[in-house]
Amino acid sequence: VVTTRPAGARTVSRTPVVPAVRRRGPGSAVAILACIGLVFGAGAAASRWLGGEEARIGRRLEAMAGVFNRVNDQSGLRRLATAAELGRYFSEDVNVSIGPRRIAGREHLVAAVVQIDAGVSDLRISLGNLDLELSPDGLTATAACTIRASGRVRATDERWREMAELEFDLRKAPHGWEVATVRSASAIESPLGGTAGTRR
Amino acid sequence: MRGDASMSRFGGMETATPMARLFRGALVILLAVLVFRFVLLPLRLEGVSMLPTYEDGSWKFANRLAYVLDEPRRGDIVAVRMAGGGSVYVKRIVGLPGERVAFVAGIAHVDGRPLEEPYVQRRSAWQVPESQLGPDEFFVVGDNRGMGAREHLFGKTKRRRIAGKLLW
Repeated sequence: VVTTRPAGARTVSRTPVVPAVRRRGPGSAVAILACIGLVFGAGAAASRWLGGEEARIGRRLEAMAGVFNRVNDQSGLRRLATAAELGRYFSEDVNVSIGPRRIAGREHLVAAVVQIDAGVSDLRISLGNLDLELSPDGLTATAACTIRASGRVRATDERWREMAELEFDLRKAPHGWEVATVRSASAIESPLGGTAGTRR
Repeated sequence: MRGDASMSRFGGMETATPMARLFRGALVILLAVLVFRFVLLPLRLEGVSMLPTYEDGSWKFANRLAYVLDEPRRGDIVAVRMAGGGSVYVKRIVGLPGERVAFVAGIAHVDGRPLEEPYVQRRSAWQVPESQLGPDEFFVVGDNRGMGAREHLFGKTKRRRIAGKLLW
């Protein structure tokens, strides 16, 4: 450690940071770590504050995916009841357009979900991060995300995985955000048409 | 005395205290977070569309800063960001903004002229109608042209979807 002490002057340390930590003891290291933690904490808090509505929409869509997974686990009346619960996440006049399939209206959507049989057991869907655009008045939003679906093919018991990009138009309702439109999307627009679902 | 101190400081003879080690560890973690958040995008490839250039299951890195000052070029292998940013497609750029791209008997044609592609080892006879690219659109395709065109994802993508250039 190098110090200079001119007559009557205070001690000046030219010590680099890490050896300084070594010299000054654990207290300064804890202080530096606390500063780093504070910076990360402030960043996280700012991110949460700025992304408030985004977080709410994200939670809503996550919850919707959770209910969808529960529908797939059930049969009979329980399946019907859970599918009806899924309907709460959609507007009365919801429009779904995924690949060639079109569904108009909440009742038709719930009926379609009850009848889903993709030949896959343990079907699970999960949503990735959202790209979100809120309207200036904060009453509507467009969200895009990549959905991952996985399960086991019943016929062969092989593991099955698929990813698809979806866009949602959402409206703010008294009980929370509801989905008004669902449509398939793709980062790459094929000149042959169709969706990216089965392509690599 | 000063020389001795320097030797001691940089000669690696001293044993760091636990707190100093903790501090260094925190610095390394902070640096890693910054690098992987803003500079490098680690990728684990799934699928065969980039064979033989990239094997299924291989690990790669995309440089997120590659196109900060420069624009993507023909031949670059790029990460095309899917919605939400959690997953990407890895493809090669064959068409640039404003160009017309088609496939005739498996050979890419740009503005009506055949494109030389030494990285393509196997070709199926793809017949793909011409696509006109917009001012912010690129045409991307994988190197594995041995697979059927309907099983292979290729086509136009927007500039904002290109997340970075693969490093090697």
